Amino acid sequence: MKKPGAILLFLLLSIWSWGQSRSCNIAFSCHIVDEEKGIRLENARIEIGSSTWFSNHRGIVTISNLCRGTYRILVTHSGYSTMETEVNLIQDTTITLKVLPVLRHIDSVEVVGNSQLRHSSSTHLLTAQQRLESQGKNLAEVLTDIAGVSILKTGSNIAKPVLNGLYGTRVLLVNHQIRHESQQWGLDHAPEIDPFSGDEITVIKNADAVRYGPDALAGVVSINPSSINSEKLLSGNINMVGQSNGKSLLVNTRLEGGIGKFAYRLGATKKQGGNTKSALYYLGNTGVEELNFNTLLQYQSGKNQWEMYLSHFGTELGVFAGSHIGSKEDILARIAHGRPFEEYDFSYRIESPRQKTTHDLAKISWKQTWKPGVDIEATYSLQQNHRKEYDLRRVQSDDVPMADMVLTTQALEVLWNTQQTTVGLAGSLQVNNNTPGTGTTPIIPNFDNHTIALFGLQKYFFATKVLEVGLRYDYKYFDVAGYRYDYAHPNADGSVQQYLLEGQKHFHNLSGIAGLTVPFSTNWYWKSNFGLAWRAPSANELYSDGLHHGTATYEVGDPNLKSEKGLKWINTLNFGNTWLKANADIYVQPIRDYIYAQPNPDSVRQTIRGTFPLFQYKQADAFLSGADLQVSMSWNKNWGYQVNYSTVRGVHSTDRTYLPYMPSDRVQQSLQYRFNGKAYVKVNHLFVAKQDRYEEGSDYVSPPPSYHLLGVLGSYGFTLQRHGLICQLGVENLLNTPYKDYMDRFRYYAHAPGRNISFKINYSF
Amino acid sequence: MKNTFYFTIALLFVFNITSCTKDDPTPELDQEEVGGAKITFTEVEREAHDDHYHYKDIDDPETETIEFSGTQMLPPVGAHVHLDKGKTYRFQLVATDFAARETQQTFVEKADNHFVFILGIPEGAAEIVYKDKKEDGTSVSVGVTGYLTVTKETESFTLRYIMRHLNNGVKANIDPATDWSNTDFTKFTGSNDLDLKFEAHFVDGDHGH
Repeated sequence: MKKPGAILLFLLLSIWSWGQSRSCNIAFSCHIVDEEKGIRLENARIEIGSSTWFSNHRGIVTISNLCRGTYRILVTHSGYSTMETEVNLIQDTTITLKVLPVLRHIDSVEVVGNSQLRHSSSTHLLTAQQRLESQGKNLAEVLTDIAGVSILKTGSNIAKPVLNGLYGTRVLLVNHQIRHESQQWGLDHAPEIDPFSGDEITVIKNADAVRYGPDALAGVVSINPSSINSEKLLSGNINMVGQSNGKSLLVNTRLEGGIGKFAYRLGATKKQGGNTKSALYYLGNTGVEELNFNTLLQYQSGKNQWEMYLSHFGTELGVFAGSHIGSKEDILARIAHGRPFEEYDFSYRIESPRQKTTHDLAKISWKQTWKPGVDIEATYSLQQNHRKEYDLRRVQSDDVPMADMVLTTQALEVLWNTQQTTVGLAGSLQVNNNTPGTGTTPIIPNFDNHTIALFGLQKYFFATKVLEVGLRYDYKYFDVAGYRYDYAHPNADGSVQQYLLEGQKHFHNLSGIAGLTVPFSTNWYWKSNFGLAWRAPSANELYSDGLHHGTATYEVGDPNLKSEKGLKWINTLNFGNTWLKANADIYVQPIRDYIYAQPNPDSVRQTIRGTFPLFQYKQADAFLSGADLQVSMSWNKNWGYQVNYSTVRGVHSTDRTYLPYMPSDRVQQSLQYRFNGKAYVKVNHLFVAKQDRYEEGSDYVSPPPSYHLLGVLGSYGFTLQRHGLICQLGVENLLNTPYKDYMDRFRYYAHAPGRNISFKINYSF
Repeated sequence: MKNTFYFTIALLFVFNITSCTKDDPTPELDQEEVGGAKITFTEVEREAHDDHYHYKDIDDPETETIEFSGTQMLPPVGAHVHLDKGKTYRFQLVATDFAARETQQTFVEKADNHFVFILGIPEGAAEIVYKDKKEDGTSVSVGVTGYLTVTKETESFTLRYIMRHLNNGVKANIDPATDWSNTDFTKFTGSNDLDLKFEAHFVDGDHGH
């Protein structure tokens, strides 16, 4: 009872301090940046009320001794459209305001001033409130606040984002402008990115392969930092998240500042959690440990901007003990039982089966502005992803990994930008090596994967309309070598010999994009975007032939697979006024030679290790279609409501049978009441329908029933010793509903996590 | 242009300190996998001592051996084992890895994670007790070595010998005296290291071959 009592006392003190702290001592810093080029703007005029300030040579305005409250800010600059926005100040605050260059055309003097109207992509940015509320969650879970994004889970710890029905390598993750390269082929391999490392998380639902590279059949998730507050030598924040389910604690610290032309940001995140609990029982061996660091350095000298980013992500997580299987017999027995056979207790101990992964990223970029609106940018990056998977072993110690893979990727990109044109050259060298000594044949052979690409994007402005076209050519060289079993030619005694598999493959293809943005009025606009993207088969799809210990499945690749090609046509209809904002994305996507792993419950691979469910990579034409709807309403300054709805259909084009692992329809809604702009309470509701679009007999068990989850959240912000403090108390799965989700690969063995009470503290200084 | 020059030099340096080609692959001997197996039944003498039995080797014992090979670990076509009613046999598993080295003792050394389920024997037709010993002499119940006493004549049946690789802590829920024939063995969470099937029958007196 000590902890709840302390929390109550803390909340009472908080409320008291709020009443005591209405002094006018808030510092407000505003960075004025060119929306398109990212350059900082000097001499921008900032008006707040009757007062006026101008940005310095670094594009920064700092205003001190402001009182708490909501302010309307007007930003004007010669050559840029006027920007008007509101900011609610409850603590020292730094924001970045992006203004758009005014484009005047021969037959038009109309100004395109809304950033959404300057491109044809369907982009969705997580708000600061959403980011704060999702602290403590992994990257995939953070993204589910955007309609059309769901998650593919492997137990309670491992989650991959699913965007419009596609996942894995078809969803590009761009971290600090660098394409995230890791062992994303595994369904049990979560993205190795710390959500705290970026402030602006954007989901682009277009098949935008031209700018971001092939593979982006589904879209792109972009994680970017905010501007560094370089006006102070030292500022920062501390975030703490405690969660009851798993008894986890997360601490994140960020420090940043500037000296002259130099700016820096340092960040670190530590997380530790134990066994999570479903509504009815503990899930054994589901603990997690995470330790992440990142450093961002910036230097600006005249027309040159330099940036260096270093990050380390390290995690160790347990794989639910009850998922350890070796045969179809095991799966069916556990499905029939409906829950694990064993009873587990709470523990922080992580045992095999488990995963240990590190991801290191080093990036250096240089940008030179030749003249206003024209610049050249070069970026080099080096990434290393080291994945170790441990299983219960018989001969060796459990500390010897069953899989030990190191993926090293170097990439270089050179861009030339004008206000309407982008031309780029990109290349990458990728090497995957299996570390010897695992005592088990690697499922993925060693390989080289080298690419080179040339691309161009052009925008045309016709009055208020924007036409965007782009083209990209990619060449990919793939060279593989690894030992494989020759099952086709067994020895006379039935034993199977290994042979050295070697081979080279060449892939090349064109990607393209064409989009149109048409504003109907100040409230309505429509976007239409065609994206042609292709994806060469990955190493596992081509060459895997072995037991994937992480998922206890036997996966068989097909070296004759061709590249899959997808054409995504997405239409966006958007409405916005002072109290209502609505966005609908409707899309269709035919995919030629779609590659998928078909679970075949009637087929198992008997190995000398045991008998395992067989997943075989196949290829067939597919057709995806769906719609995402996002509506938010603010009836008055107190009440707000938001609802997201998403639906997706995925079928084989030829026989119209359903594709496996497509998310079912989901509705997510919240009702919010805000007190004076500083505190709010929110009730959340999530409904996930049963996946009825499923081929009977194509899985071990039919999809689980639909479910409803309720949640509540309270947030309160105040100042403490002139520094900002925000506290949040939330409950997820309030009714402790036992449920299973179709997109959880461990639904065969256990229920999803139950009630979770979380407490978050965000302290800014 | 000076900046461009320095940037290029820096990139070339970084490119050169990292390898751009894959390593030559190393073949792995799959240590966790079993390359072959055989089970040998050797006739012994069983002596009752209070509430337990002692087992003694005899001269010129009757033996039956069945071998399993291939990826599916199958016995030769038509192979079967017949054992005589009233006799006691010591059964011993010999498992080999890819390099044909004997590996059955690894099951015994990790006794907390292994247990054999013997299924298919008609009810009441046999008594089975496991008698395994670790290298340090500790007695454990795994099922690599045990004694089978035939108590009843049977028709032919398929005997299933399952070496279960159990999750940590699961072995504590198993009673070796009764669970060796538990057909509900999947409730003991884990996977199967070996799943050997062969035809057997228990006979009374002489068998026709």
